Amino acid sequence: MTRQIVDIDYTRCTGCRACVLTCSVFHAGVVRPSASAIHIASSLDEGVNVPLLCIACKERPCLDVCPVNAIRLHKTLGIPLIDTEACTGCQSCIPACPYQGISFDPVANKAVKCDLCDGEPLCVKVCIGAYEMPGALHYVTLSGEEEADYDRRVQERMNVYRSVKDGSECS
Amino acid sequence: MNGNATGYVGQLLWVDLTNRKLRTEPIDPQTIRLFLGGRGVAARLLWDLIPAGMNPFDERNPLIFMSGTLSGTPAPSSGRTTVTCKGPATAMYLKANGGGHFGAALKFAAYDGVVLTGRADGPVFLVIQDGQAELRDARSLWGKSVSETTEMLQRELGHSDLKVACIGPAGENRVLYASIMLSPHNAAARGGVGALMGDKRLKAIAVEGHGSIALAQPQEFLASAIEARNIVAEDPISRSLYIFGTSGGVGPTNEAHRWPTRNFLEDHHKHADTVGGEYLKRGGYLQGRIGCSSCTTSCHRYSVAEIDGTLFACGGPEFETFGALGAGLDISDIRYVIRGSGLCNELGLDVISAGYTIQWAVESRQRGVLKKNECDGFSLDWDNGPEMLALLERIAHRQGYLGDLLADGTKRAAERVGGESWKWAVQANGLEQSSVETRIKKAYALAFAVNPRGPDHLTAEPMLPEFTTPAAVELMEKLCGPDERYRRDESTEKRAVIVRYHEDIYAALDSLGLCAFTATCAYTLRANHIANLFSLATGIDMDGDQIMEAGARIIELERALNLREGRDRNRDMLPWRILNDPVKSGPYEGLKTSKEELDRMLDEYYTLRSWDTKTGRPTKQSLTALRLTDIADALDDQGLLGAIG
Repeated sequence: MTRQIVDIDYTRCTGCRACVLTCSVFHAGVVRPSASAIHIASSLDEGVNVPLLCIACKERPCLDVCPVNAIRLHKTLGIPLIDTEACTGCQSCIPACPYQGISFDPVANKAVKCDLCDGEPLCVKVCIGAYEMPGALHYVTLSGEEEADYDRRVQERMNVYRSVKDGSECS
Repeated sequence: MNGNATGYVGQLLWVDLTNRKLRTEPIDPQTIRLFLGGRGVAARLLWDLIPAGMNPFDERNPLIFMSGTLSGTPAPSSGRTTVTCKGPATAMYLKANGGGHFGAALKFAAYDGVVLTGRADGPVFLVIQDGQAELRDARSLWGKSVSETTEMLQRELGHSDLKVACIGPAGENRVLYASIMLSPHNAAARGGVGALMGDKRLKAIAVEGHGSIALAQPQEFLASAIEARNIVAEDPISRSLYIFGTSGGVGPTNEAHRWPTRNFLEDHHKHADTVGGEYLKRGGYLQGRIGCSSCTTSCHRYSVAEIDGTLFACGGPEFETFGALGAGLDISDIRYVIRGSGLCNELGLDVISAGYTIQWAVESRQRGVLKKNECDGFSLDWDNGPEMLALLERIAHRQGYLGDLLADGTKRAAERVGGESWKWAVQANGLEQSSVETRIKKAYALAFAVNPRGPDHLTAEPMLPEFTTPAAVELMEKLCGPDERYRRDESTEKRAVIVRYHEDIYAALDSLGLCAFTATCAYTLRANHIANLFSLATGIDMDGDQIMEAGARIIELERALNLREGRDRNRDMLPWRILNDPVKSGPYEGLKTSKEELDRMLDEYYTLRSWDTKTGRPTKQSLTALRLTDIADALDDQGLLGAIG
């Protein structure tokens, strides 16, 4: 199965958070960063911004950890989705994801993760990359030979995330 | 709270620093309908709060922080925050506006803005967290730089996503051009807003919010926001601003011999090839770009340079920074501009006034008006990067005779030093002019002369005539007709029409929290798009004409505010050098903006606004047409109404 992913080039992220604001309006009908499935960790000191989002990994530890089976694999998109009706807000899935791909919205008392906007991710549409400028977010289909490179870049990004996490801003 | 508010939150936090009392008050929809939000609402509050003629450091002078009505939303480049007060440098109406994420955070914390009055009896900071606010002791923060203050507050409050607006040492020491930093890289800089914050002993406002901004029609708003983002981004100027930043304009401006150099003595900087935005990129100093909230353009730079083995970073430098701290001082080494830019941000200084004040000092020394014993050991010559950096520190701390002299800006320094030094104080009404060649660019000359806060580019930036992008050409035709001669920057015709358009739309943008680069500079976004965003966010129906009318209303109100402070036609002026010293070389040699030229443009401008051409005062008609009847009555009572032509 091919992987549809929002590919992230963190070196191009400006930290504007248009993706965060857009995601929340589309999914929650209000602007509220905690209702967004994408978040940005920023270190203003180092001028570094790291977008955090479900990476559509193959291991999918979130599927196994949910005690009420509210996280289920979407057949065509190939990623786990949260059934918000079923989610009890227990937050077990949040630390289970090694990529900070699931977050918690305290207002709705629900876990939040990317659903690829049903195949047309809006975060990509509002990223500066949508305007032929070298933006941070790109919606791509990953071929088999690109997987290793993708995984390597995810690891690199998570390493940078861990280095900026201390004293970082995240919303 | 106004519980039905959407787009805006519907409430303001009022803080009485003297009595340490805090309260919350609603904003009613009628105020938003008339004044849109942000800058407009703040101007209305200022009108109600200050008596005429009050000393800017009177504790009744409010310091008003306002987010925009579209701040925090996915509307394009909606990260601007306005700070309003009676200005310390000019003793007139003042708004200073900056980018970043502070305004958005305020709204997530359940406030559209904060109104601070009074003066605390010792250093304090204000913390706002999800609708709760309190004042806390800031003695440990006093004296700290902007980034130190930000980091200490983030540690103390234990919240990594805290947004901090604060002053540096310059604000604490009431430097008359101290800025308020809305992040370590985003300044609300001009006119001394930071000096008032320091006078109030308010070191910082720390904001953290997890709440929601409701929208009247969320999905329709989102679709409109995405459309507006695409419209802004498709303008070639947006792309250029992304690649080179505002400072990408340095090269072309210099080539055209319109790049103010050595305190406006010259218009060509011989080092511009290596002291400008393109070289920032080419020379490897540009490390990244910093986006304000929801920005489509990302003009803001993140640059790093090394001097004597020490690495320095800064958000910038901007076009104006390369003017004030670069060409203006004839600096030949870009690293000093990068460091100077970062230092101004750390100390909380406005780069424009800081740079032009140092330029004035250098020229004063070169002409012998500043005596050697007044210079505290500084040689005060052109192209002296290390001295510039040392002077910025001295100014921020009012250290020594020279530091204290320059901390009050060029107008007051020239008054103290005397001689003819007032002639090369490139200021009007107490504000140092931006690096714009107003002897050549006549639309700017008019805009600067009537700008309520003094001669600068951030109340209306009429770059329209010189732009050749399709949107600019089309708009120019719409405003002035097809005649090519109006497209010349040095033309004095139709300048009033151009300036009025920029003023009105700029006032609307500031009030909604949108960046000026969405609808001026990139000229693709128009009032009807803005109206659509406003209506879908707030549920208050408005069309493009009504948005422009609201902008005009704000301009009219600001004019009325200044009228009470004695500003009318007599003080719609430009720096002496612009009016009297012609350009000395290049294709524009001999050009200046004479008093007669300015007068002609002013006549046309006042006529267009239905103001009294003799006095430049708004009239009963102009005020009533904009539904400012109570303002008209108040001006009438004070004998300040213009006569009807």
